[in-house]
Amino acid sequence: MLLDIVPREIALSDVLLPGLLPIFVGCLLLLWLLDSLIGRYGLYRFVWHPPLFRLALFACLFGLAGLLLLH
Amino acid sequence: MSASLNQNTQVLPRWPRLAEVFAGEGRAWIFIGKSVLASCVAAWLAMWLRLEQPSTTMITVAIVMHPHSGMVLAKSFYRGIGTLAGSVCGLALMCSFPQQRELFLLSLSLWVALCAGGAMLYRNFMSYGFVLAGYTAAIVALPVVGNPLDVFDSALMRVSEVLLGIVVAGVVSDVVLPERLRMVLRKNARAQFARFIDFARGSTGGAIPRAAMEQAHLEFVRAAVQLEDLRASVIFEDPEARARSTRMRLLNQHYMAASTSFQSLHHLINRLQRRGRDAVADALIALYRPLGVALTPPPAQQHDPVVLMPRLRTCVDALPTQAEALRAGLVDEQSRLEFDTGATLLRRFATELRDFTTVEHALRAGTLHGSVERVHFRRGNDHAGAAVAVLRTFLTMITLSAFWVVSGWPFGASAMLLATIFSGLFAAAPRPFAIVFDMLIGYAAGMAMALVVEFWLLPGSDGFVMLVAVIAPFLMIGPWLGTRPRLAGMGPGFAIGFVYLLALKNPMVYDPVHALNDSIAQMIGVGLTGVAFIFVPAVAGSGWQRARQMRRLREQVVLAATAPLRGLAWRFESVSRDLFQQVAAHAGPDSAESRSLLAWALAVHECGRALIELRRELLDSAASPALQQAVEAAVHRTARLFRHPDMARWQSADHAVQQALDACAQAGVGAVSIRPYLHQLRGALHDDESPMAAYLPPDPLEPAHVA
Amino acid sequence: MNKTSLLRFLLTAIVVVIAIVLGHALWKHYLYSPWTRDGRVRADVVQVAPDVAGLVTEVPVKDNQFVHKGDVLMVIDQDRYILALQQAEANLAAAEASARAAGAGTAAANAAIAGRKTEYEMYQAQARRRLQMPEKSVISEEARQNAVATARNAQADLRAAQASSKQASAAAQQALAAVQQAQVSVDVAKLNLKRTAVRAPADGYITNLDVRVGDYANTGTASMALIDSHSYYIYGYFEETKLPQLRVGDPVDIRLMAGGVRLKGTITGIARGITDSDNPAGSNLLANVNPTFNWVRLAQRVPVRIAIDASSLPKGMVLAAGMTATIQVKPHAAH
Repeated sequence: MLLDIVPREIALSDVLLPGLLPIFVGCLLLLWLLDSLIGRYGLYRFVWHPPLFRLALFACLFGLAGLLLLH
Repeated sequence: MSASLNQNTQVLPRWPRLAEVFAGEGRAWIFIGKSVLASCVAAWLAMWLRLEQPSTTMITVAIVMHPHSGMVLAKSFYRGIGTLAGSVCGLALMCSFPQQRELFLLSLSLWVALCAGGAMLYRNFMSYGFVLAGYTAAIVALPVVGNPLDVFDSALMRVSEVLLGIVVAGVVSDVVLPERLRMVLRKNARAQFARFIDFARGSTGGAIPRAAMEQAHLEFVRAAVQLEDLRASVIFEDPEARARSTRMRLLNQHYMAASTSFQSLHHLINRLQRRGRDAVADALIALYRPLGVALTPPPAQQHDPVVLMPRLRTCVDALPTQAEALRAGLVDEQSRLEFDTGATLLRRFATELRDFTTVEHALRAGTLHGSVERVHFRRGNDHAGAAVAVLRTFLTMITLSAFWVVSGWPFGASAMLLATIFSGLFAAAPRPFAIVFDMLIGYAAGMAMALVVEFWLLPGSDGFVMLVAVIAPFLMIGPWLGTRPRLAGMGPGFAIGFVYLLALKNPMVYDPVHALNDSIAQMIGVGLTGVAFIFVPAVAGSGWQRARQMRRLREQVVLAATAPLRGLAWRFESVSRDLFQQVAAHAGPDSAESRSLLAWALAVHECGRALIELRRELLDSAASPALQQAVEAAVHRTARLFRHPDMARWQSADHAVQQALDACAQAGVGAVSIRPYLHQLRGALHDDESPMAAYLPPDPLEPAHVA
Repeated sequence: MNKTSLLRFLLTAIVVVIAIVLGHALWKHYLYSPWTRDGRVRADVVQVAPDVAGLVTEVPVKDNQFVHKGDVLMVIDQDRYILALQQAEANLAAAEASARAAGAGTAAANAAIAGRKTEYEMYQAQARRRLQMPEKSVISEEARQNAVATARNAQADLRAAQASSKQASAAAQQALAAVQQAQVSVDVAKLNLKRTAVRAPADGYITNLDVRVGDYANTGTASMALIDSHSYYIYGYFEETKLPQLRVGDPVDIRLMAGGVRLKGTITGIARGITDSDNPAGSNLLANVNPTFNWVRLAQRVPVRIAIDASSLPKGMVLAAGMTATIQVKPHAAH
């Protein structure tokens, strides 16, 4: 049903890209935003390994978005 | 100093030196392990994603791996931008000149040269972006130079490979056992704070010899520049550091300002003592004493800003009354003027020290709310160096192109590609001969290893695990060399040589003839880059460059005399220190040059800062036009003296300052705030231990003027 | 302090675990869910070639035109074939005339047999009579022997006439056969004439029309392609890891790259073999195995044939063989 939102394949000026690519870029932007917010309020104090946390956060975002939008 | 370290590490190791060695080795091996891991992961992903040349990904990893983790997103962002810009440029060149090899190679050489110049100009994380921009343009365009129609596919593939390499290198270096610069920064900042407080406390007794002062200055400047370097890297490490960055900058600025005031004050006391005006000197030292007391809480709290801050505050508040009391003890007008000069400096120093401590306290407590003054550490960027890098790279590339075009050499592309990579990577190399030699040796060794691995070891192995088992030991060698200070130049050479010639593919293609031909071409490319480094040596560190920067350092006084006042003090303090550091890094220690440099740097700091304060006071005071004119004349004459120091200009400057002082004396109460600075300026001009000694009249007569 | 560090660790660990779960799910989804970006629209293509050679005199169709079955696609110079027909017909007439002549010859031969037979009977009777006379009577011995010889002679004549008759009937039969031959020639000439008009073998679209009036068309050389408009189907190239989830009869969502048109379809077959790229047939029929193997093994792609549900085709949709399609199979809807 959500297949309607994100095609599995998009054509960007005739260059075929897999549909996950825009999701990937979008998640990167979202991560950047979240990252600055967390850093701004010093919430990384509650995190043991910030880079690992950041990677995991990205995996969560990307996994969730990918599954929801492509399923 | 050691006390502060202990405070930070909490636990005192039993064998401090051994532990230090082990810690260093540990860091090195963590980096080596991370490099190998990143290379292997990159290779696997590239093969799994069916990219054409997994070796491109591995080369990218070899180029961008660096011991310190930074903030991956931002760093990768710049690298990605570089890659995209490079590929677009490669595409554009290929589309513009598909049939005109001369124009194509000319413009490609120009682009690569500009990128190398950019890598040289921006010495921090952005330099990789420039390196990658040149490199991507070359790898996009060069392999398909024979069939331009494939350029788009080639570009798409190369960009995918390079971006994959960037992402893998970034994620691995950030996630796996990251080496946090932030900790280093915190440690350095605290050590710097502790050292400065200790030094200030230790000097309350009175005079410090000139030599000790110069050493201290060298140390303070180095600390300030290093702190700024670290800060610039750390803000890319994590957002928390970015939030603290403004305050960190402010801390450094207060630090620099305080150290300048501190030196000026001690120069003044020294001068007074040398001239036998002990009464004034003693009064100043007496005025100084409460500051020393304020800086001497119980030993355990000596470096704790929480304790120091209120003590300094009360001390600063008490200073004017104490100064008044001490001033009353001095009889003649001349002594009072001298005392006023010293007291002004001391008040400035105390205020700056208090601000320094306040910011340090805020940083440690983590109270970061509210905005603070935005200050910038201005860099003395080296455009001439970048221009030379552009010229050198352009000559290298154009020579290779010409040779390629004339000889119809089938492996010309390889040579050009290698020249591109190394021109960018070593653009900022300080010692051309040594670095080129190391680089060539490293590259040759890497290629030899690659040949051995490719034709003896790999054919017998099967599957990715075997592949990793075979190449991992060799992948370790490059980073290992990079972590040895004496072999560091070979590291990148080895790593890139090995990976490039190995040219991993899925499935593997074994072609000894091609590999040998390619290796010869690559050696020529790297060798020619080396030759270019020798013929067009880097300006960084050359005598000409040092003399030029020395002149720029002196011209900072001109800046102090003429630039708009807003933010000028910060700008002056940071640029002059950065320039000083750049010159000092290349001047041999204890050489005549380094002594002269130090002497000039101290003079520049003292006079420049005095000029800035003078101009500021002049603006605030309601001085009569005549006085204003006299002061401005003094300011400009001093600036002229520093631009081209000689006897005549010194005399003219001295005369102008004297006249301004006379004008102040006539103006009376209205010029009370200006006089101390003029007097300080005059003292600095007459300092017989500074470079001004060369222009002093032969008999150091005490000028017998009475206001 | 201890509590805080535990919290820090737990928070990180929880997020990491969630990340691993989600990442794994996405990985599985992307890798094993039965979909592919690599689908192609295909169709049956008829290579239209003339059955007769000759100059092309007329091409009534245009490139990419839709034609119905039986429509004339091109016409080959008919004059030559009309002449050939006329010649065949003339040959037929000649053969028929020959046949008639042969028939008359047969009758003549039969008449001759009757004459000879009568003659023979007469001389035989004469000879018998002369022999019945007593010896040394009125008739001499010579006359008697003459009579016998004459009778034998007449008998030989009769046999000769009989042989001639057989010959004549054989000639008549030959002539009849020639007539039949000529008749077939006429029929062939008629067929050739009919075949000078090349007709569409099925409903479909003309494409790659490569013939102009005035061209010389050779027999059997294709000069245009006709895409059967009822035969469109899709080949989806699925990675082998995804094959276990595919069954014949599974419904399929098809998304064409062209305008993102969405179609429905059904799997009608899965290819049971692809070429082994590591082992092309060498000389002497011996295997030529690639000496190196992939460092990382990659999944091969197997073609899966999908029938397009005609009702899902939007009106006015241009479907062209070779178009790219993204295919997603709905495995849970297996029936």
